[in-house]
Amino acid sequence: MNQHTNELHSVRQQRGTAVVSLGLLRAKLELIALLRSKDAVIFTLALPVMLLLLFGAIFSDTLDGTDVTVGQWFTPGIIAASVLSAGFVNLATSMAMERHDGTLRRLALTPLPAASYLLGKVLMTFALAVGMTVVLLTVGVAAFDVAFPSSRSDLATFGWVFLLGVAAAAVFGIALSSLPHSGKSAAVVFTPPFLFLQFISGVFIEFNSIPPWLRAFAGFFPLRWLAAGMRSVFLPDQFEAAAEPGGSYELATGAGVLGLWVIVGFALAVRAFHFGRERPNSRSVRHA
Amino acid sequence: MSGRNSSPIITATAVTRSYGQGRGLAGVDLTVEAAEIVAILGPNGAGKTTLVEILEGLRYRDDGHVQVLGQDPEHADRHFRSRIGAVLQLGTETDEFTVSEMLRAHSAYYPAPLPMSEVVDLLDLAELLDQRVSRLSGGQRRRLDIALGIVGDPELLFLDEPTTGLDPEVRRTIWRLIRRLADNGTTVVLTTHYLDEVEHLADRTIVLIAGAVVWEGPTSGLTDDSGHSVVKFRLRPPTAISDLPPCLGQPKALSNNLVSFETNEPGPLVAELMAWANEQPDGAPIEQLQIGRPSLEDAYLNLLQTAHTESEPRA
Repeated sequence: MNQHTNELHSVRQQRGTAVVSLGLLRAKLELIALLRSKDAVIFTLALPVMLLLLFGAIFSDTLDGTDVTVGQWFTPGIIAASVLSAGFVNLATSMAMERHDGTLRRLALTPLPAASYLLGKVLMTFALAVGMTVVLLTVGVAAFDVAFPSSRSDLATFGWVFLLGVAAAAVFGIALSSLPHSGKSAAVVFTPPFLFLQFISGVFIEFNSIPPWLRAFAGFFPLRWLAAGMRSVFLPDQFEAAAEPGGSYELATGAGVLGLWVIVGFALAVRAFHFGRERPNSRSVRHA
Repeated sequence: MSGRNSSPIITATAVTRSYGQGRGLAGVDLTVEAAEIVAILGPNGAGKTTLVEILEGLRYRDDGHVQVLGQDPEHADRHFRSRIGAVLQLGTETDEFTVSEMLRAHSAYYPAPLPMSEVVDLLDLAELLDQRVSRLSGGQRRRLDIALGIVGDPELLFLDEPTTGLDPEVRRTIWRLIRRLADNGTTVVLTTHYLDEVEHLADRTIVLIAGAVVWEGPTSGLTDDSGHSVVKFRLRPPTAISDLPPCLGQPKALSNNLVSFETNEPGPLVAELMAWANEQPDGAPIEQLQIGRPSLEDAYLNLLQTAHTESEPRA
């Protein structure tokens, strides 16, 4: 390598470091903002916890053909839903608000790289998903005797299901954030489809009791696979054969579908996100 | 601050941008020299924001040539954005941060920010550093907006309606601050629809109406150009505007009994007016007679009216 390419290389490296360190700074700011807006924290955390406690308290019996209680069964489902909502609802809403209240425009005029802004958002989503999982799992273990995964393979499954779930949720949150026509409408726009997914993906209603055609439809979306993956980790082995459709969690298919969502979502996110700047090929950008 | 060169900071020629329905920019020319304060004045929807966003690199133009700080803003990169600053109104998402957190975060985005103490002193923010943004008053918030715009030590600063919605005293403080920035060598481009802002701040003014520059020059020239004077007085009721003799010309009714005439020869007009007034049976029905140069407001309203009449036949 000659000196010029060396310099070029080190400039690129510096830029890369700047993107990452500024991304970490953004993540820190996002977290501070989230933790200080108490309404948002309470709303985000309290809703799934309340649902979990309610479900567990109202339905005290066990699921057909297993000794799994409703509280135990619902814990992995609500964890899966919360992981998805961290990106699909929280991230998408916060970005839609920032697109409309001028934050994005302000940042677009600073040298902050767009990649750092997005990295901050993704890390915030990850932190939120971790926080919600810890809280819900604690409630599940304390109130409903949910077994913490002990085997190495269960922990590994939990790891990849969680990471793929957060990644899919985050990229889709970014892609969807440009849909609402105002910041205020964002929460209204994102909540109904999320609720719909929860009903058909085996979160609120046992997946086996959902009509096969609706199950097939749910299979196109990440939540069905995220929920099955979480059940495989937290429910006893007997549950799979007794209460899953076809007697299987179909983890391999789930990994494939989630992976595809991450890839497609990433491509969509890159196209949808313009950081408040107009793109040369698309002049139809809304006035920010 | 970094060295300034003598070539213009902004040159724009024949910039067009259409959104359909006649809105947009129809061939705008603009030159801004270093350390100048230039105001872009115009009614809502005149294209002020579009023009500024094209200069900032946020928006593309259909046609025309633009150089900002020696670069085409369409190819704006991090280096370009580290040399400009923009003062925008803070969104509500920042409410939970303190003033010092906002300042530190923004200064981290820039390669060579101003020392924090300098920004804090310049905008008098020392006592507000630990306050949450949500607790700031309108004027304090705007001071923070400006601080965030200059924290990167910009050579060129864009201000979008810097004093809209602020009380008169705060507006004056903000004007003083902007003036100080220009004295330190920062070039300032501001959009506004306040005439007093233009009068107090701008070295040069561009009047933008319906996407076209209808007037451009030193701000003081905006009132000198018209060359005529204004004769203003109040009519004592029951005398009405319709009672005035037609030889005076076409009067302008400013309110129910406040009247003004525009003329190139105020002397004869006043003489005729007084002659008529003294003939009235109940004594002269005229109070508060003034002869003066047209105010900036008169000049601006004239420009607006001319532009409106010219565009009428086409509409």
